[in-house]
Amino acid sequence: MEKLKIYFKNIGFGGNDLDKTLNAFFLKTYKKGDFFIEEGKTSKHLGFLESGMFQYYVIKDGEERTTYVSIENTFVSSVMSFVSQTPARESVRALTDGQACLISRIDLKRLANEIPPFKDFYIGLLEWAVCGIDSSRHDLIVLTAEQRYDKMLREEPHFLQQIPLQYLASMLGVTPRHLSRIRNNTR
Amino acid sequence: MNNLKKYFEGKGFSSEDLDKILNAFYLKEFKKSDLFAEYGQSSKHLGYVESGVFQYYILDKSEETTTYVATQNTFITSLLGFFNEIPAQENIRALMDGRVWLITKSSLSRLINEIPKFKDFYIAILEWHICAIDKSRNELIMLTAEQRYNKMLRETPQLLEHVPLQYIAAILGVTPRHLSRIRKTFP
Repeated sequence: MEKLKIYFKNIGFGGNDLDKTLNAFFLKTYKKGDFFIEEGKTSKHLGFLESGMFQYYVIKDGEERTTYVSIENTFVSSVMSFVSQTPARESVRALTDGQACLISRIDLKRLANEIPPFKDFYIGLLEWAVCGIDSSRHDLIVLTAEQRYDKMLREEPHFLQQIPLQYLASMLGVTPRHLSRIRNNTR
Repeated sequence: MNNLKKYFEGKGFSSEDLDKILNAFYLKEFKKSDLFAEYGQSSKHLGYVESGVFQYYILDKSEETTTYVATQNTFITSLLGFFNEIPAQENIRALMDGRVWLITKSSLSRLINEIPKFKDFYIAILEWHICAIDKSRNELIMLTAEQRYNKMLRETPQLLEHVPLQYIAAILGVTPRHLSRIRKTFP
């Protein structure tokens, strides 16, 4: 849980609060292809990625459509399912072997009530998630695939380095071939 | 009694807390076409729509694309602009005369820090919005325009009553002509 510890230290956690927080998480190992959550099931955990990469996807007309990818040092969750305890509308699967620190919704709520800074951390995480999801919805409505690629290049260039091309293409809503053309034009 | 007061009373706040909360808001009148937020400008307020309908849209080469419509008794804000204190990514305009209760980001933060129950209310609101936005994003990817119309008919019929057709079409991602065709196939 080294990376989780660094994460909480960086946002000002120490002493007892840090110990209590880390104790509420447990480490889980994923093999490539393992599910973090499957569509239709209720997501009971929020995860922090120590290593590896997770793909969010839906099946549309028999095909996988990637909606998001979570990378190391960020949180992974089927947010809506976790927050509202309803069945997930997407699946989240390990693209590589990896490890995640998990916390249940019950423990999360308990920590929020016991540790004031943890409640503030949770508010920050929710605000971050609202912005991320709103921005992604906005882009789906108003931007072309080229513009979405441009935006990723500007705002999340680490995605382009780390995520395999076919998933990037699916996330941008284009075929891998179309993405290659866009990349050639952008250079 | 106004809707804002009714709303917070319904959340079970004590009368002392209620006074503090309601005093942090002030009422602003909007004439049809007045802007609540403007693309590229900072967006410092969160609003609660007392009356009226507000359209979220962006302009691309003088072409308008509607991304959302907010109705009476809901919150409005340019999310990314408000949370991250960056320029708004959209315009928000009154579609008819209306009134909105405004609160600044600093007043909101003050309420969150001074009233423990308000902090929990704020978490609940964020969680609710995450679910709503995530659902809408999922539907943009997964459903056809017909299916989205059918859903709107079932789940938010008040939108169909209050919002002019061309905006409904924009929210569903179709042309007004296409929407007319869809409506004819639904009794």
